[in-house]
Amino acid sequence: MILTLLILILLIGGAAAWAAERKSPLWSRGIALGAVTLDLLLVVGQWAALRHAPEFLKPGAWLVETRAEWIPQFGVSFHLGMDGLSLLLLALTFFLGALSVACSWSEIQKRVGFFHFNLLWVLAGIAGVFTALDLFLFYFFWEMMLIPMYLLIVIWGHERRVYSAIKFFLFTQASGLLMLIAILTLQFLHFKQTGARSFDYSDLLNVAMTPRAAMLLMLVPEASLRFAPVAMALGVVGILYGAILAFAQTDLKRLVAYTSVSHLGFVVLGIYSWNAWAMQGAVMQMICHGLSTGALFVLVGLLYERIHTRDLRRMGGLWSAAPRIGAMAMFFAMASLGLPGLGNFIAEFLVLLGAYHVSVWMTALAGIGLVGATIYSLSLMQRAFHGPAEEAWSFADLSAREWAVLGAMAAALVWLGLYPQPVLHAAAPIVESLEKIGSALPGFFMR
Amino acid sequence: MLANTFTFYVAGLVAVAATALAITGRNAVHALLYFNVSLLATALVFFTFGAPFIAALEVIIYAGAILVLFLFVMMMLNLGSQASEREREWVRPRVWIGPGILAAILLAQLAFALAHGAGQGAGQASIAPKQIALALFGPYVVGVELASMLLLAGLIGAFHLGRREAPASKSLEKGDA
Amino acid sequence: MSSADWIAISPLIAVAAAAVVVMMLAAFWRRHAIVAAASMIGLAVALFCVLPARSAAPRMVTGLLAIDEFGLFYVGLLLKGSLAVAAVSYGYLRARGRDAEEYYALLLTATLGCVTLAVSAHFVSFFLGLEILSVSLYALIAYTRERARSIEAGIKYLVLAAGSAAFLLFGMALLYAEYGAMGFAPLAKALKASGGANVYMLAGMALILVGAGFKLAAAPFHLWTPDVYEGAPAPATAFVAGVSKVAMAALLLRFLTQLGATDSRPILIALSALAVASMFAGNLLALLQRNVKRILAYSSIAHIGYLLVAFIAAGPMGAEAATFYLAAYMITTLIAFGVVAALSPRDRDADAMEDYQGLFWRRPWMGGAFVAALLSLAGIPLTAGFIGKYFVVASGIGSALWALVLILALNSAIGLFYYLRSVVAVYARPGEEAKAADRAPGFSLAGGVALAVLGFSLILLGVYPAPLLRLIQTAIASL
Repeated sequence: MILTLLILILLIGGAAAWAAERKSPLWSRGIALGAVTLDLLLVVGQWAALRHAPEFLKPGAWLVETRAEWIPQFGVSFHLGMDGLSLLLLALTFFLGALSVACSWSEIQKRVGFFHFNLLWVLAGIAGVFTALDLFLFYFFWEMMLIPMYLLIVIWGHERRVYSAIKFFLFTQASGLLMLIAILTLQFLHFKQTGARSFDYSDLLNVAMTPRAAMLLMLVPEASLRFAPVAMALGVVGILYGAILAFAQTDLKRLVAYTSVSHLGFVVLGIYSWNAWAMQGAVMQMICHGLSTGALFVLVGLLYERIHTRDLRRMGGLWSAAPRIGAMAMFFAMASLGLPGLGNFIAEFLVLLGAYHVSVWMTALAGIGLVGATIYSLSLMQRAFHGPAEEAWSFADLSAREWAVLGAMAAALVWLGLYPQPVLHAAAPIVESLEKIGSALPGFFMR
Repeated sequence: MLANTFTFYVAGLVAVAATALAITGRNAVHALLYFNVSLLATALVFFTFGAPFIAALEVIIYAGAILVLFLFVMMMLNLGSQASEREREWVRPRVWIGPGILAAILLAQLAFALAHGAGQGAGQASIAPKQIALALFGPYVVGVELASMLLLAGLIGAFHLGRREAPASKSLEKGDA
Repeated sequence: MSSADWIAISPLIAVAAAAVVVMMLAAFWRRHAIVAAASMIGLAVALFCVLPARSAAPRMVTGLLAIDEFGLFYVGLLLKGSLAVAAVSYGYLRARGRDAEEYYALLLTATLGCVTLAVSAHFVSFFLGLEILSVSLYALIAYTRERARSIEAGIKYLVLAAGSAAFLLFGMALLYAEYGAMGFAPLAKALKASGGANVYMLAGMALILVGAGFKLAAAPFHLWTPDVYEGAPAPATAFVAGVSKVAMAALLLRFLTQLGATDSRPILIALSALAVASMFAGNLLALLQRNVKRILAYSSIAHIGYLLVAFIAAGPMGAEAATFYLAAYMITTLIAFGVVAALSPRDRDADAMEDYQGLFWRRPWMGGAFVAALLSLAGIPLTAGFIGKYFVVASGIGSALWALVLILALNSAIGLFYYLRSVVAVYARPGEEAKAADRAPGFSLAGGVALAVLGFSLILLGVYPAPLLRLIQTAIASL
């Protein structure tokens, strides 16, 4: 029930925020912030309540589960479930969601209500994706979140927003359709084998398939495992490619975007190394990347609001104008390059440690990516904040609200860097069950 | 039997030829004359099928009534000296000779068919008006009713499209202002 | 005819009676509001008559009409569609400001043609229903006769519909000549007795498919569609696109299913070719358009292609998918053209992209409805179009039509491009011209209510389709 509630709060909160715009933009901001914070508190409350429950450490068990009939003719049910991993990701989502409401407080000035409506509906879609246990429902949420996301880009985006929005939507939709076909095929195979229509993940997991069909569909763990060497290589390529391109950018935002590609390469590498360390690292990386890259994007937004450019060639010497922004940027750049003591370090360290057991070569190459991260992070700082000033910059430094937003993110990163145990604890059962699947399969991939 | 088949093909060819000439004709009266021949030829085709009643209806209603009405309307719309000049044009042999030849072929064919006892149906008995009436008002009564609605639809459509341009209708101003 | 027969066909009788009453009203008491209200009441009464008719079903009335759950489901659907069109038309015609009354009589006769198609099980009623529909549509399409485009569209439709009727008749004649039956059930029996397909059967079916393809605007028989959609007054376009195609598809579904035509390989190949051609032609040509009505026209061609995939899919699942898809498609199309009609000023239709510039900010509800319709056409969740597309894909996979399903997915992606372009316009900043015309001249209370109900159904079917699916299952089971 709590899961349905989480989604409903966001959906209703979004509608209310839109309606409240008529009264005052402040109302819609307040309602949006309230709704997301309420969700965050609920999730954290669940975490606190369930931390010591026996099923918290049991692999394959759902902490919370909701199930209701939805479209019986298709075998579709409204089936939501939460385990440690989704708990973590939900907490991250709502944390970042609350912060993005806070940091858009002054940046978004037109159509405030509709903005928050879209933002909250995106969050609702994401929460649904993280908790859906029915593949139809999963696809439903997945697609549902794209429309408000698209509108956010189209209406409040910057230059070339229409182009990028349509590109974004086309790519996600086309790949989504392929995913739909895969889901339907699985369901069809299941129907042929058992005579019952179902989209439930646990049912479809047991569908017997020829290896070739499994390769094509790639939704179930065994199939993913066969794909692992390729995926690891892709992860490494992503790490290096992202790092190199990041270094070459002159647009601050694009630079941060490519660092994100690089970081997600670690996630892919970690998952497909398929052992407890690497997978734990991947989970950590998802969370820390969300925080550090999110914070960097916030900083880009802050700067753009003040100096109306994101061109690194026009920047330089910003530190003297806004030392606090500079300090914050420094902090998150360090997090991004994996400074020990911050969350990203733990994540990347675990991934590399785990990957080392699988492939020394890949690990070594990924390690080069860390060097790349150091280079692009430092060059970012150098080009934007130090060096000769192109113009005589003079603008306001961080406001109290911005302090709070960035401070919260920084604090979370420090906490994860010094005491990652709660996250590792929560992710442990999933990692364990996945590892079990991996070791059960005869190892043409495990060395 | 053979007479029937022969008649069918001749009448069919005449129908196709006349229709093609009707469509391609630039002069409206000219086209109407060909169209009339085409209808007569179709009537002959019906006759060879053993449906003399339908053949008679075709001649009386389509060829006789409707097309003649068309011709009258067309002639009445063209009043004045220019029109009388044009009408003189219409009665020249060049205009009626083509349809006339086709009609003559049909007549000859009809005479031939009657002489050889065609029209008794290609294997089946010829159908009398009574049977048609029984079918129409028995199993096909819904069809008859639907056909009447079809005519109604055509009537309303023709009324609207053909009506004279009037200043904005008063009813609207009264009713909805 | 027994009294049960009368009850069974009471919806048809109600529509026909309403047409006559409206014609008399138009002749003797020319008040637009009254005529419009009378026609809507007539349609509502007909809709109500579906309930007693259901209790009399299943029933063959004189061998021409099959009153069963399937037919009555479609009758209900078509009547609802017509009701919405009538409601939307009111504001449009009021804005146009002259001789609006005959329109409703024609709309009612067209509706009669549609419902006849939905319940006909005989070539005679098939053809008569089709002709009633076509003849009414000629006049409806050319109704705004002061506009050259409208007249042109009417003539184009007249010529092509007459041509397609000729194909259809010839196909029927071939089948009748070979099997000596015109009713679908006797025909199926004769077909089975003769031991399957022969050349007459295939030629006849091919000609009938050509005729039906014209009406459905399946490529390569789609050439009339963009011009007619563009030229016809927007509410008439709504009827052509949303209602008449549903009727034709319902008839084709019954015909193909009863004859077991989908077991015949050549027919399946022909249908597949139509489907693929329609999908590509519709989507690719739509990319080139800037006129909203033309975009919707090409999009409708593509949608017929998607629909045909469900036709090809075997078994009840294909028929169910097709039926759901048609319901979703009808609602969506009526919303889209309803918004076009509501925005249209006196002398032209609001079909330029600029008319929609920033619509969402000028008239949020109408803009929202238009966006919902576009997203439904694109098959995005929360709308009925998504469930419809999902169902079609599922039925295709159920029959292992891999190539068709992949082509469908590819085409959906192409289609997104032009739908999104229109969505962008709706959300853009309003242009200066658009600001000046910050009104919806063709908007009326009735039209607004109709659009609201349609929009609500669009979302409801997208979120909770289970009840409608249950209804469709019983309908298909009766086929």
